[in-house]
Amino acid sequence: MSRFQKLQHQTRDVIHRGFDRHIRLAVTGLSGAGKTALITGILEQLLYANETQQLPYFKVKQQQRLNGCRLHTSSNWQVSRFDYEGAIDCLTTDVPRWPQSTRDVSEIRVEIKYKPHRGLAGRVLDTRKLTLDLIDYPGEWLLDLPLLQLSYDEWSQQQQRLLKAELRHKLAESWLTKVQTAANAASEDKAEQQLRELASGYRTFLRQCREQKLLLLQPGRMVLPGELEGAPALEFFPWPLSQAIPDAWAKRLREKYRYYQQHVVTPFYQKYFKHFNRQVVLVDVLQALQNGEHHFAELQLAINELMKSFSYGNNSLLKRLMSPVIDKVALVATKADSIAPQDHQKLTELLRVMTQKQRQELQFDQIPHQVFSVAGIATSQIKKLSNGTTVLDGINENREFVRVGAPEVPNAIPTAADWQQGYIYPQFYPGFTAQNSPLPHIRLDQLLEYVLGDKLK
Amino acid sequence: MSDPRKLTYYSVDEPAVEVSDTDSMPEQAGHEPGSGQAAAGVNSGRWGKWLALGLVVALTAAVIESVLMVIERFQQNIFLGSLWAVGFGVIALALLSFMVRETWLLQKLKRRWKKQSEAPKPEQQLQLLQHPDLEHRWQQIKQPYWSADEERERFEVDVLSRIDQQATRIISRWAAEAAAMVAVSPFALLDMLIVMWRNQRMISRIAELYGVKLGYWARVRLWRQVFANIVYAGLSEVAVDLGAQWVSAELLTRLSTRAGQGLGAGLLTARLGYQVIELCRPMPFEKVKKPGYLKLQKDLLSQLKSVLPFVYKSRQTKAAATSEQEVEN
Repeated sequence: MSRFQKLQHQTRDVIHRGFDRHIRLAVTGLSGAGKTALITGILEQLLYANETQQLPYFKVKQQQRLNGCRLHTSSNWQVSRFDYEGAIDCLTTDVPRWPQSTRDVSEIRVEIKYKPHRGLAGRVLDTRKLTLDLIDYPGEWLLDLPLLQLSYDEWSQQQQRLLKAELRHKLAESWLTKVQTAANAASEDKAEQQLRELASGYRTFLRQCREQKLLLLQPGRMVLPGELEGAPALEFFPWPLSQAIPDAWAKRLREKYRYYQQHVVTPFYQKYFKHFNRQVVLVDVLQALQNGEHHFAELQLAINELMKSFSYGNNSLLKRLMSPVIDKVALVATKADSIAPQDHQKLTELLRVMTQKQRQELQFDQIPHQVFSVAGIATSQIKKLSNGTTVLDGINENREFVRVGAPEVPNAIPTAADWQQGYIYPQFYPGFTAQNSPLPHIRLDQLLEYVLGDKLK
Repeated sequence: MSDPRKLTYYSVDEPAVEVSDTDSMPEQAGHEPGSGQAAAGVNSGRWGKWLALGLVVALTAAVIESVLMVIERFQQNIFLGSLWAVGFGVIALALLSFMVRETWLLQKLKRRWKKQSEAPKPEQQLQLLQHPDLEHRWQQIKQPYWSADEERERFEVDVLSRIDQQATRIISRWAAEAAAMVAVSPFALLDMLIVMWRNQRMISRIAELYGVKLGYWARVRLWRQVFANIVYAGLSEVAVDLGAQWVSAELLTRLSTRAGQGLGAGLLTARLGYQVIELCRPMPFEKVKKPGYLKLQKDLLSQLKSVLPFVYKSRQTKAAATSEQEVEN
């Protein structure tokens, strides 16, 4: 019986896809970019859409054509459900906190029921449904996707370039000497053992990098292994030295790398990422600004790498059924609640400049895209002092109510002198109660309208 | 490691206001004479100056004359003198207050035109509109994080468009009435009078809707501006609108003469009305689509049909026959 049900579900999905009534939204972002908060925010706004005045830009609601939204079981029964209720609980308990960072893949499905007003559907149908799938996953794993297009040697070269950067070099120094000495004493019979040790050394290095808030950490499973903890699949590393790889190691490293590609990354990609047809790219620009020049550059590089691994194009009927591609992209600067509203424009502009290259490519492929500054869940209140200073009221990490002068956002990519000075942004914590629902947001309605609006006509 | 970067913290007890409340600024009285739209500044020229001078001299003479007269009367009889004095006083006062009101209203209209081009804030616009219900609505939807552009967009789409809708409804009703009246009126002079009268009423209603009070001169000014716009700026628009609808739909050939006149009067009335909307609106049309004629024409025709059963030539005989039948019944 349940098998039949499952089949039924999947058939319906295919039909929906064929009729273009199914959106799989790729919420793409590195770890800490705010994916979970954004997904929670989107769900919160959709589920409470008819009870709030907060969504003026969401046209289907504004034109009073929205019947409602409902959470629904997803057709992919192997994936755990995104814990929306848990996240809301976290945000609204007695001691509200941010939901834990994501450690595994989860999925959630929302059905949006509305009255169509355009086209044939508007004349024939009373109500119509749109299915929206949202998928949450650890941002660390996302960075594995670029590996699919790189051979081991190409990847090694890329990593060698990265290792030349000052901060990374310093962190990797001890590991590099270890590799050097071990490489000199490389032998066929001890190879397995040596590689395992060096791989664990590489893993320690990656973790240190992560503590230093570096972003481009590959392979992602080494940082957050999930079910692969301690598995031999992870016993490899990029070749960091300019000298050639010892013969005894070369074959093994390449083999492991290929295995990782084929048996770890590819299934991940196939299962979750292949069927996306809309994308939201989340970028925590403010955090990168605060972390400094090096991090900022790395963020740019990481986004660049990431966006390469998605396929963009126009969805024709056949393509929709077989292998959908992303036909609309929203580039989103998150955590807009930690700056003054008059700086949102600057933040958007900054992200626009940062993603210039990718935007040009999208432009070339005629993929609609737009840049937003958003907060999935807004944790600060904007106030003005009598002397005109804009301040942000919020709760800091010690659960104290604080009032912070709105920090500055640079107009363009900061210069060396600007980096000397540095930037800092407040980190607010949620301070909601259950009465606050739907939780406040910043500009989610515009994002929703952009991503979903054309399917809700 | 000392960090030069620092967040500034403020005392929580210091009074701070929600951003949404601080923006309401008092209306500033910045106005320049002869500003605003180019077409408005009709040059009265050299003769106007002489004429004004003559008028001023004559007026002064009249004032002196009347003062002298009143004094004379006082010498004759104190009672008669005071009666004259009171009479003149009342007239002077009435004139003065009329003039003050007129100039004030005219200035207000001019100021609005000037403001229209300056991208006014929603709060300023609300002050001009004087609709408490809309003010309330705006307070409800306004989000503190919006940029000025977003605010303007939301204000136009969610608040101002409601007034636009009301105004369009008024226009279509008034236009339909004018069309019907012209269609049934027996002679041309009456047509003209009807159009003038209806348009006058309509303009006042629309202006009122947008919070514009019209005095005599303000009204004249508005009319002048409306006509100037129609003649100078709107001519091509008229050509497009009328041309597209009249000619392309081969309507002209199918309409009876009466109905054609009526439709013409109706469309002209509507055009005037749309011009008035544009002039009275506190901001130009940006995100909201300008009201158009497409639906209006349909309304007009259906209205005409109900008044004149023989709107279409081709159906003329048939329609006449049915109407006769109805009469018989």
